[in-house]
Amino acid sequence: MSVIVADKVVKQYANAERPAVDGISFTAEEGELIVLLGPSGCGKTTLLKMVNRLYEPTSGQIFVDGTEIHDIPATELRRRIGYVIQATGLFPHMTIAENIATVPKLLKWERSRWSPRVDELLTLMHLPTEYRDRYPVQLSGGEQQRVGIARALAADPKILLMDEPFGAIDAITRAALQKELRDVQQRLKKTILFVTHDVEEALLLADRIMVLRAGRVEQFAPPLEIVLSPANDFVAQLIGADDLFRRLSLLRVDQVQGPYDGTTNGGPTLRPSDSLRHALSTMLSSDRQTLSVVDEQGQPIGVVSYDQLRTATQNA
Amino acid sequence: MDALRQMWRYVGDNQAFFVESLRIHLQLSGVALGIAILLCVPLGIWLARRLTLATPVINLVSALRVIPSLAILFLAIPYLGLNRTAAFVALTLLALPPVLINSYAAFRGVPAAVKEAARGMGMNTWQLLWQIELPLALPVVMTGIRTAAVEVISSAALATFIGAGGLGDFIARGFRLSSTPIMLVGAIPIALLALSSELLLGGLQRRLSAHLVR
Amino acid sequence: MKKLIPLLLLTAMLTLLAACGNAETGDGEKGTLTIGSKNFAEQFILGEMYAQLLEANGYTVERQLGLGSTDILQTALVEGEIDIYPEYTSTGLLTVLKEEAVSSDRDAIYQQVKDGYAERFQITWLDPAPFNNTQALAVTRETSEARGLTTISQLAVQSADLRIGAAPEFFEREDGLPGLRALYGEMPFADEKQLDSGAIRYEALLNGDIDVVTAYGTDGQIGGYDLVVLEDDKALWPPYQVAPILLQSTLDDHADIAEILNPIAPLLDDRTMAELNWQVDGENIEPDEVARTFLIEKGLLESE
Repeated sequence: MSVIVADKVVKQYANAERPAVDGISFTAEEGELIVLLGPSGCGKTTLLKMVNRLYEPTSGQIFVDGTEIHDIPATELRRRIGYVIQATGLFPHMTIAENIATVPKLLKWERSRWSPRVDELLTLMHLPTEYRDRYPVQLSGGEQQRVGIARALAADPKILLMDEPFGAIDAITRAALQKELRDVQQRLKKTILFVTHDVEEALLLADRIMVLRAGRVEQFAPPLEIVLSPANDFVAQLIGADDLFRRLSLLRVDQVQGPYDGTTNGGPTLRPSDSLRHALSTMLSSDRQTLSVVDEQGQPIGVVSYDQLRTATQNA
Repeated sequence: MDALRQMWRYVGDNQAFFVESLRIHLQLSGVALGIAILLCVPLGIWLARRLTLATPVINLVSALRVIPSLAILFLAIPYLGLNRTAAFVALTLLALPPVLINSYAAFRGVPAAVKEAARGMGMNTWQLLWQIELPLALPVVMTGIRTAAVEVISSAALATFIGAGGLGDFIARGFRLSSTPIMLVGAIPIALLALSSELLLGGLQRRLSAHLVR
Repeated sequence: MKKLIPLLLLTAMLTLLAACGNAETGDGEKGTLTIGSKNFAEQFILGEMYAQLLEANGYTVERQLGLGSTDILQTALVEGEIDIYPEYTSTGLLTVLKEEAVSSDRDAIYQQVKDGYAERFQITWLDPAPFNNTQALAVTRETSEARGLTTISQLAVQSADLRIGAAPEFFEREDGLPGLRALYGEMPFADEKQLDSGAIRYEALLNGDIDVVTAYGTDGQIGGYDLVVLEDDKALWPPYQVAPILLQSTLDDHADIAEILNPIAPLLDDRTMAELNWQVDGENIEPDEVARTFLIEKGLLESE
C-alpha cells in the first residue's frame, strides 16, 4: 500500500490569480525519498504543507497510510508525521532533550520511554549524548539541524516531511548532513517528502524527483531518467542536462553500474556514491576503460565501463 | 537625620493610619497592575495575530500615555465619583500602554519558524501558547509589567487628590503643613515599594529568561 | 508646584513689562513691591486688590500669587522674597506665633497678633477687614434638615453615621480635627477622606461622596450651593480676619502703603467677600478682573 496518496490536490490562495497547487496527484511508496524540486513559487512547499495540514487543500484528497487526512484531527495527524524545516525551528527555551522529546511528550509517553529514545536519536545523528541538557543556542547550525531531524524521528513516524532542511547550512556541513540523511533513510526506511530548489541535492538524495512549475508537475521520475531524458525544455534547463560535464557530475556510479562480472583488474576502484565525473577522471588518469565498484568493505559489487559513461551522457 | 527621627515618631504615633494607607496604596497599585495584566496580555496576544488591527489599537493605547495621570484622575471624577474606583481606572489606564505594547511586541517576536515547527509537531493552539509562545514572550512581557509597576506605584500617590487615600495622603499633608517628616512618611515607603517591585520583578524576569539569553 | 514657578515668573514678567510701559500709572520710581498670596480664590482676589491699588499709586508690582501655605508665605515674607501678603488674625496667632488667644474678642486677638508679629518678626499688620473667614464645617441643606443638624455639638453625636472630607492639614492641626475632638469629644466619623482641593471637597459633598465638609466662612460655595455652616457652639475657632502684613522696614520706607491699602478693609464683610469668591469659584471669572471691577465700583480705582 502506498504510504502517501495525493489525488487531484488543488490549493487556491484567496488573492492569487492561479492556484499555487493545480491538481497534483502522486503516490509515495514505503521507504521512498521523493524530492519536490522547482523554482520558488512553483508550489512545492505548499504541496508539502498540505500533507500535514499546515495548509488546507482547496480541493482533492490526500491519504496518509490509507487514512484521508481530514478523517483524523490535524494534531493527531501531525504527531504521526515527522516535520523538519529550514530554520530548524528548535524551541530555544527547551533543552535538546526536551526538544527531541516534543512529540513523544505530546503522545504522553512516560519519561522512562522517551528519555532513552533521546540518547538513541542523538547517537543516530552522530551527536554526543552530553548535548541532552544543552540549549539550542549552544550548538552550531549543523548540529541544530541534526537535532531537528532527531526531533522529527522521535516518535518513529512512517513519514518525514522536510522543507528545505539544509538550505541555511554551509556547503561542507550540508554535504555531511545529506550523506547522513541517506544513511538514516536506508536504515530506517522512512517515506520522505523533501523540498529543495537545489538540483544537486535533489539528484543526490532522491529516489524520485517531482519537478514542479506553477503548481503543476512537469516530470516525476527517478534522477537518472530526469537527467537522461528530461520531459521538456523547462526540466532540461532546470537540471542543466545540456551540459555533458554537469550531467556526469550529477549522476552517480550506482545509477549506471553494471553487475559484477567476477573479474578484478587491480586498478583503482569506485564507490557506488561517486559521481560519474569522478569515474571519468579516474578512467582517464589510470588509462583504463573499466573500473570495479566496491562496497564499504572493499568487496566488488559491480563495474562501470567507458561505454556506460558515454551512453549516460548521450542518451538524452 | 532629625527629619527621619521625626518621621519615625510620626509613624509610631499614627500606626493604624499608616498601615491603612500602606494597605490602600498596595491595593491601588496591585489591583490596577493586575487588571492591566489581565486585560493587556491577552489583548497583546490577540493583536499579535491581527496585524491590521494592531497598529490603530496600539496607537490609541499609546495616546493614553500623553495624558498626565493627574488629569485622568480628575477627568474620571464626573463619571466615577470621588472614590477608589476612579483611582483604579486612572491607574489602570496608566498601566495599560507598557503592558500592552510589550505583550504585543513579545508575542510578535516569537520566531515564525518556531511556531511553525510547534504546529507541525502536532501542538494544538493551547499547547503552542503555553509551551512555546508564553515562555518565549515572557521576558519582554515582564519588562512591560516592571515599567507599569513602577509607574503605578509612584502614581498611586496622586490618588490622594481625589480622596482615594494611600501614601499620597502623607505627602499632601506634609506639603500643606510644610512638614518634611510627614512628607517623608509618604515618600520613603513609595520609593521603597517602587524599588522593591523593580528588584522583585527584575529578579523574576532574569530567572525566566536565563535559558533564553546567553 | 514645579510647573507653577515658570508660570508665575512669566506672569510676573508680563506684569512688570505692562507696568514699565504704562507711563500714566507711574514709572516705578517709588520702587518695586512683591505681593504674595495663598492659593485659593479669596487670597488671589485680595492679592490682586493690593497689587492694583499699589500700581495705581505709582508702585511697580511683582505678583507671586498662589504661593502656597502659611509657612511658605511667612518664610518668604521674612526672607524678603515677597513684601506683602494677606494673612488671617487667628492663623497668625495659632500657626505662626503658636500662642493661645487671650480672648475670643476679635479686636483683642488682632491686637495680640499684631504685637506678637512686631516683636517676633518685625512684621506689621495693616487694618483688618470685618469679615470672618473662620474655619467651619458645612453640610448640605438636605442633610441639615433631614438630621436636624445645625451645630457641631449635634454633629459630635451623629458623626459615626457621617463621612467627612477635609483638607490634608485639617487632620493634623490644633485648629483642625485634633482641636475639634479635644473640645467636642471623640467624634468618630464613618470615613475620613483627605481631599486636597477645595473645589473637589465641595464636589464630593454635592455628589454625596461625603456628608460633612471643611469650609471657610467666606467660601463662595456656601451661598452658591446653599450649604449650612454648622455653628461652632463651643467656640473652637477664633475669628479669622484678614489684613495685609509686611515688614515694618518696608512700611518705614514706603509709608504710603498703609494709606493705599487700608481703605479696602472696611469694604469687605462676610457677604461681600463670599460673593467675590463665588465670582471666581462659581462663575470662573479671573481674580484680577473681579478685583478690578470691585475696586472701580467702590471708587478706589479709576475706570480705564
